[in-house]
Amino acid sequence: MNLKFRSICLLSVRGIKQFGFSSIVASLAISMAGGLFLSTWKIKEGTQNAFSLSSGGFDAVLGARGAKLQLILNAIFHLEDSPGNLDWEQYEIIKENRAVKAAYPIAVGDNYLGYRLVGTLSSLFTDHEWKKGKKYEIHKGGRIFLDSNKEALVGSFVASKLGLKVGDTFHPYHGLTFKEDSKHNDIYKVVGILKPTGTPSDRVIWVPILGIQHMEGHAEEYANSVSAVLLKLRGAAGFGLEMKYNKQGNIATFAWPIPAIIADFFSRLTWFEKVLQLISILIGVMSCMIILAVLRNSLHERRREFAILRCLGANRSFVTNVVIGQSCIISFFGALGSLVIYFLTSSFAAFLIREETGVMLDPFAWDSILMYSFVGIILLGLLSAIFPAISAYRFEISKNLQLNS
Amino acid sequence: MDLLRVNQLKKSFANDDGEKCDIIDIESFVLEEAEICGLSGESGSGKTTFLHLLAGILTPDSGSIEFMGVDTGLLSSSERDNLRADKIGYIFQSFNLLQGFTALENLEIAMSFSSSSEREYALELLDKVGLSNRLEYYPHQLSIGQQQRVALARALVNKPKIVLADEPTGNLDSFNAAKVFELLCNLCTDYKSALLMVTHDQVVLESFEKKVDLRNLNRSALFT
Repeated sequence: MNLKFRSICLLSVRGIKQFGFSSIVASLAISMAGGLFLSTWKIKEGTQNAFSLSSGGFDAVLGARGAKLQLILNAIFHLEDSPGNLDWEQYEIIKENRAVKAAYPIAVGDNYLGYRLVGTLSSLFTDHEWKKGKKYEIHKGGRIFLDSNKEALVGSFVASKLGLKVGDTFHPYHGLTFKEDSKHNDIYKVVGILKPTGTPSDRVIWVPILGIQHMEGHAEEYANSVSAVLLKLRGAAGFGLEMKYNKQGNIATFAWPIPAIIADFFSRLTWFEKVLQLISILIGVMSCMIILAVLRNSLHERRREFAILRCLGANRSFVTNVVIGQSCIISFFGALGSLVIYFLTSSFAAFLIREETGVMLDPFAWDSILMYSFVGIILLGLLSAIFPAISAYRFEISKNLQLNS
Repeated sequence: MDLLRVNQLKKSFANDDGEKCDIIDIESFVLEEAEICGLSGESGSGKTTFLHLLAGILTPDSGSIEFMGVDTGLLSSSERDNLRADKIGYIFQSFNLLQGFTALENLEIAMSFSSSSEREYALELLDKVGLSNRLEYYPHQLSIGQQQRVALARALVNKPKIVLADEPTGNLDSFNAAKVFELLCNLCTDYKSALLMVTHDQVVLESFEKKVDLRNLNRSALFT
C-alpha cells in the first residue's frame, strides 16, 4: 500500500478511535437514516411488484357489483371479505365470451383453522398456468381432487403450518375466520399437497366448487352461485368486457387490469411512504450534523498533532485528506449499517407479507438503488466533511505550535 | 558551499494591544553543508521563531532565506511543505511524537511526506538509536530518553540536508541529554546533514565548534 495513503488511513482511524463513541453514534444515525429510507422505498416497490406478479396468471376477475380492489384482494389474494356472489349463469356467460380464453369459478365462505377453503374446478390445476409456462405441481403421492368428491388439495404453506398430509381428513368451519362453534359436519379428505408457487395459492385449501356450494349448513342460494370468476383473456380483450360489465351493466364488476388496480391501491399509501421518507431525511440531516460535530471536535482536539504533521512536511491536502478519510470511514460503516438495517427490515417485512398473503418478496434481490444509496451515503458523509476539511486546509501551523520562545 | 544563507531577515508579531513587536532582525547568517552549529539565547529571544522561519513554517516580513541557493520566500506554500519534508528534519524540545502510533509508525508517517521513502531505512535508524527492540512500542510505553531518540530518528528519516533541533535536550536529565546530543551529532555526521541546535545548556554548547549567540545576531528592538 502506498505509504502516504497508509498514513492517511492510520491518522483517520486514530481520529475515529479518539472520538469512538461519537463516531459510532454518527455511523448508527446514518445507518438508521439510510436503512429507513431504503426500506420504505424498496419494501413498497418490492411489495407492489410482488403483488403485481402474484396474480396467479389471471388477467381479470368477474365478481359481484362492488369495488374492484376488494374483488381482486378476495379472489386473487384471498384477503378481505367477498363483495357478494354471482349467479352460476354469469360464469357460464363469460366463459362462452370469445374474448375469454379461460374462466375458473371460485366459491369462498369456509375455512379450516383460519385458512380459507376455496372451491373451484379441477381444471384449474390441469390446464391453467399460474406463471408463464408453469402449471401447478403436486407433491409425490398426491393427486388433484375429483370435482364430485369431498376432497382437498392443500397449498404448501397451509400444509406446512397445519401439518396436513395426504390421507388426512378434516371438518371445514363456516366463515372466513375460524370460530370453534361453526364446524360443518362435512368431512374432507386431503388428496394432494401443492408444491410452493410463491403466490397466494399456497395459503389456501382448494376443494371442489360443488363442495362449497353444497356444504352442509350453507343457504340454498349458495348452490347456484359463485364468489367470483378468475379470467384469462385473449390479448387486450379487457376493454370490451370493461365496457360491457362496468359501464353498461349493473350485475357484476369486471376487475381489469389487475396490476393497474394494485398499483392504484399502492399509490394510496404514498402519503405514508412520504412521511417515512421525510423522517429518514431528517435523521440523515441529523447524522450529517453529528459527523460535522465529530470532525470539528476532532480537528480541535488534534490541532497540535496536525501542527506537528505540518512541521514534519505534511502539506495542506494531506491533513485535509485525514479529515475526509475520517468522514469516509464513518459514512462507510453507516452505509454498511444501512444495508444491514434494510436487509433485516425487508426480511421481516417479507416474512410478514408471506405469512399474511402468501406473496413472496425477495429482500435480497439485487437492485441498483442499493449501490446508489451506498455511494450516496458516502457522498453525504463527504458533504458533512466539507467545512472541517476547509478548516484543516487553512490550518495555520504557527497558531497551533508555541512559536514565541 | 553554503547550505543556508540568511540576509536582512525580519519578523514581527502583533502583541495583545495590537502593537507590532519585532522578534527577529538578523543581518546575516550562514551555515555550510554538513556543518554543526549550536545556537543559544535567552528565553524569548526568538530562537524558535528563527528555526520556524528557517523551516518555512513562518514566512519572514522581509529579507531572504536561501536554502541550497533557492530563496524560500519565493516558494509557494506547497513547495515549502515539500522542502520541509525532503530537506529539513525538525526536532522539538517536547519530542512531539504522534501519540497512538508506534515508534516505527511515527517514522513511517514522517516518511510518507517525502518523495523518497524506504522502510528499511527507518528500521536502520531506529536500530542506530538503539530502539530496534522497541519498534512497536507506543510513546507512552517509552522512557523520556527513548522518546527523544525516536524523535531524532524521525527527524533524519527523510535524509535531510539540515536538522533543526529546538532544545532537544531541554527535557532530559544530564545523562540522557549528553547521550542524545552525542547521538544527534554522530547521526548528522554519518548522514552528512547539517545541524542547527538550540540549547541553553552551557556544557552542551561548549561541545560545538561553531556557536552562535542569538543576542549578538538578532538586532531586534526587543533585545537591544
